[in-house]
Formats: sequence, structure tokens, C-alpha cells
Amino acid sequence: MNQKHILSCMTALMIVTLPSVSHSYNLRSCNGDETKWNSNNVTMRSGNNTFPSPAYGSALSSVITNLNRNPSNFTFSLVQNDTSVSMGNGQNEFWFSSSAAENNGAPAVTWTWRTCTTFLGFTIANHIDETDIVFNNGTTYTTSTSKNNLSTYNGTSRPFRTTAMHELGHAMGLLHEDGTYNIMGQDWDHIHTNGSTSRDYLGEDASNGAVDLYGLQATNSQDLGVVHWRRTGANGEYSTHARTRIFNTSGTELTKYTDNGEPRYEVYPGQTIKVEFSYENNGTQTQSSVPVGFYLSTNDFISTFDNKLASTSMSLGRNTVWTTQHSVTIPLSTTPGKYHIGPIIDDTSSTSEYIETNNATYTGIEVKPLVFYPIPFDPVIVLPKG
Amino acid sequence: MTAFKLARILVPICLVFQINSSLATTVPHKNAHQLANEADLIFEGTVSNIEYDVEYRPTGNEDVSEIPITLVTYKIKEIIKGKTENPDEIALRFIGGPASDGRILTLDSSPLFDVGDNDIMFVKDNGTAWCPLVGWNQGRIRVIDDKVFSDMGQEVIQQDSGLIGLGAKRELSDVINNHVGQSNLKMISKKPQNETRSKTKALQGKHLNKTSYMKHIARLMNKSSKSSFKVVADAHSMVKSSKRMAEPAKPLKTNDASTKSQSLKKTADDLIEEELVRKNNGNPVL
Repeated sequence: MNQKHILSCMTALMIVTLPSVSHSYNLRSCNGDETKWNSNNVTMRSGNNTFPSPAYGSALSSVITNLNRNPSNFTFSLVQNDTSVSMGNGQNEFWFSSSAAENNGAPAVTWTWRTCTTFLGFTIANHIDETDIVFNNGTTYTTSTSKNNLSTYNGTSRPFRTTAMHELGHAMGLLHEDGTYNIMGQDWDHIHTNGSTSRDYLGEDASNGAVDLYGLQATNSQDLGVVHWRRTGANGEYSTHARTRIFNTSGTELTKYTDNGEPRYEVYPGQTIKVEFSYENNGTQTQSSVPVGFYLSTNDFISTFDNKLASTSMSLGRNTVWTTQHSVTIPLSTTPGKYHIGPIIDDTSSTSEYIETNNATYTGIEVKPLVFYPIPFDPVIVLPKG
Repeated sequence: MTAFKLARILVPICLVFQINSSLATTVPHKNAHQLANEADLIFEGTVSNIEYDVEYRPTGNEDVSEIPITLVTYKIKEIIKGKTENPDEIALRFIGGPASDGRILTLDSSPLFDVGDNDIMFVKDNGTAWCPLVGWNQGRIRVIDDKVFSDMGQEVIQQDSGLIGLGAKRELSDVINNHVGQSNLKMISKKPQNETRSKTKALQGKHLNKTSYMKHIARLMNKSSKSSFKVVADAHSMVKSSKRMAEPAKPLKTNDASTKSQSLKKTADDLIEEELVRKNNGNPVL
């Protein structure tokens, strides 16, 4: 019986007693050392004849810019119009392929070449030395940042940018993730949206993995964010995500319906509700006592121009996405109709951030008219429970 | 009709019509029904040998690249779908492994193997697909101490509804440690630094043993699927006979949907806000 078989038997005996494990980001090691690039800046190249339309080059460039805003020491560079792309040629490349055998049904795959050499039991080389990202030409992608084009919302096309961000996460050295709201889980709904524009991003947990591999950048660089997505579970080795919710004060999710591809919750004037959102610190330092305001808007872009309903403060470490709820009361004077409600993190601009556009998001609500029951002498307003 | 009789009818219906998640991830999700019906061959076996080789094949837009391949030979214990040339063993061919220059090629969704691994395999397009399994590593179910796990170590469970799913992930040495050539690759899972803020709940259900799982899979196979058994060839013969198994990537145009216009009615205040935000470079704090 070899060592692996002995380990297998021991493992088998332990299965019944082991607790399940709550995971954050996942990495790969070789002969005991975490596998990463030797360099903190890696050049990617996109092929000129298999990479379709300039829009894709522009989208790739934008994705890399967004990824490079992570708090680690690691960045990618992009060279476009590479005349020759292939696996194993020593260059890190993107291309589109129509080969069913190669894609095996996946919209994109990332192949990683690593060197892992030991001599007399000592590791003498362990690093990634090539990565190739192959997109499936049979997938209906869009490079658009308009939410109406994205299948995540009310569109029909898969967002190319989030898939590219996911694959670049692999290229950095990250594996799939099923335990946290994470770009290394489902990619298309790991996205920030306020108003009609969506933005891809690496996210707090994957950034934490990048910091683990490549260290924290020396320059202080802050970024707070909030999204209307949350982790709901796991689909194989991927975390699954869905929209954040609105509850009554008893913790029961309010009645909702789908309006133009998005959830819209029914609320009443004067009702206190609990609004759920996911808050992230994508910067380099812990942020303490960050002010958060909750606003009621007549449109889906939440800004300080809107009607502020409530405020709170929170501390966010640079580690794990925080999905949480806060109480907000809908003003009794609110005219029935469709609105959006949402938070703005750091709504006093007390923290200087490298990107400010991801500080707000929304959830749709419909304020329903109050129901009055006329009774003799003393009319009573009947509000829904909670 | 008694409740018992009703349950006897409904449970198999539930098993057949499992939730077909349309939430395709980077690798599209395959449920047990899809695994059972899309596979050319389903068997339980033990890895008896692993060989490494290289192929010279077209990738990207170059004519030929050296690509490492791994031939994983299974000693077959039981076949529940399909046929093999040799009823006792079959070699499966995976792209990846050590190259001639010593580098190792891997892909996150393609499984890694060790001699002695005991698995239930859902094989499709052996010898041509870069990973000859249904849904990449979803087509490999590990059998450890008679219990079944996903390739990544999640318990294969049956929920109260009868559906088969993946439950809690276990830190199993067999799963996280793999040898590729002379190297030991290990998957490292980091715990959240603030666990109170990142509570995760795994799907609940009964952790299945091998026998129950294989019975479920056999039950999920469509009649047409059962009757169209084909002989799956051993990858050794195909590797020797062909070094060019895929056409080079073609420079096709990918659809890029045009931007839909929004049809929301904007108030005067909305237009003022829009202009203020535009002047503020998208910053919602005005």
C-alpha cells in the first residue's frame, strides 16, 4: 500500500466526522509552494485574426484596466494584434476558437503552463510561465456595458467582460470559488450596476487571493463598493449569485415581481423595510466608520440628488464581501408608484477612492397605495404586517 | 390514490425532470440527468496507470504546437452505459500534463488523476475532446470509502425532493493532492478572514453511497439513450493513429449585440440628475 493509499484510508475514516469547510479564494501549490508568476507584471496578447472586431480589443483593454485596480502588487499589460497565437509558444495570449473538441461546451477556458522542479527534495523552480485564454466562438457574447444588453439583466448576450475577468483570475493563479460572492464563481452576475451601466470588477475576495500571492501594493489605494448581488449557494465548484432582497421587519421577504428583467418589491408608505446589499472594500486598507446613506429615487441611478431616507456606518476590512441588511422607512407622504431604493457607501466622500462610480446601486420597489377601511367615527389606516 | 402510491409516481418524475439550470457558468452546469444521457460511456473503475505523451496539433492560428497529453487507464469494475473494446480496461485521453521541456500544462476545470483513484466516469468523445468527460470535471464522480463526491470534494447528495445535487465540500487528501509527473500539485482553500460576515450554507440532503448513486444514474437514462450504446475506443489506439484531431481555430466573427435603447420615462428631475452625474464623472456623490 503506497503513501497515497494509506492517506486515502485515513481520509475515508475521517469523512464522517469532518465538518464542512467554509471557503474563501482557492489557489494551487506545487511541491508545497503556492504557484504564481515570477513577475508582478505579465503581458497578455490578443490574436489579430481570431479575435473579432475592435470592440473586443477595447473591452479586453478595459477589463485589464479594471483588474489592475486590485490592491495587490500584480498587474497585466495588453498587446493587441498579435499575428501568431498558439499554446506553448512562451507567450500569454487570448484568441477565439470554434473547435468543439477544444471548448467542450465551455464559453472560455484558461490553460496554464507552470514550471515546478525539485532537486534532492528541494524546490528549485515553481512558477506560472504561460497562460492562454481561449474564448468560444459559439457563445453569444456582448462587449456592451449597457445592462439592457446583458443576459444578467434583460438582455440576451453573455457579458464578455465578466467572463474575461474570470479567466484573467485564473491567469493570475486563482482557482474556482464556491463559498463566497466571487468573480471566480459565476462570472456574469458578479458585476456592479447603477443606472443603466454595468461594470466588471475583480472583487474583494479574489483581490484578497491576489494579495496572498503577490503581496499588498505599497501605495495606499482605496476603493469601496456596493452591489445588488449576493451569494446564494454553489453550482459545482462555482458560487451562485442572485439579486439582493428586501424584507419586512420580521425577516420575511416582501412580495416581488419581475419588471423589465429585474425584481421589484411591493412596499407601502410608512412601512419599515430591511434592504439587503453586498458591501466591498476593494482597497488596500481597512476602512472604519464608513458612512452609508439610503436613498429613494425616481429612477434606477442612485445619487445624493435623490431623497435620503436613512443612514448608518460600517467598518470594512480588506478581506470578505459583506452581505447585510439595514432598516429603512418609506416616507408616509410617498406618492404611490415605481421607485428605486439603494445605498451610497461613503456618501459624504470622506474617503478618497480611485473609482467612485461603484459606490451606489439600487433595488426596484413599487410603493402601493394605502388601503383605508371606512368605519364609523374613527377611520383606521391598515398597514401590512411589519 | 394513496399518498404512498402518489409518491412512487412523483419521485421518479422528479428524478427524471431535475432542475436544468440555465445558469451556465464558465463551464455549463450538468445535472445528473444530463450526465447520464450525454455520456457515451458510464463506468466505475480504478485508475491503474497514467502515461504522459505529447501531440503536435494546431492551436490558435499556428499550424502545429507541442501539446502534452495524459492517458489515464482505468481498470473497469462495472459498466452502466455503453461498451468498451476491452471490457476490463479503457484509457482516456486528456489534454494536459508534463511537456517535453518539463513544464506542466493544466486547466482548472479538467480533472487530475492518481493511480488508485476510484471513480464513476461519464465519458464523451474520448480521443477527440480535450477533456473526454461530460461537462469537464463534472463528469468525474469520486468514490471514497463507498461514498460519492464531486471532483472537487463536494458530497453528492439526494435532497428531500429527490433531486441529486452537490452538498458540503470536504477537505479530502485524495481530492486536494495530485501528482502530475514528478510534481505534487495541491489545491489550497483559504478560509474567510471574517467568517461571521461570510456565512455559507451548503445544499442539504442525504450523502449518497456508490450503489445508490449508480442506481439513480441508471434510472435517469432515457430509453433512447440506453438503446444507442456505442463502443468507446481506447485512447491508446487513437493517439497512435492520429496526431491531428482538431481543425485549427477559425477566425469567425462573434456576435456583439447592439445596444438596446431604454424606454423608461424620465422626469425633469431625472434629467437634471443625469446631467449632474455626467459632469461628476459618474460619481453618485454630487
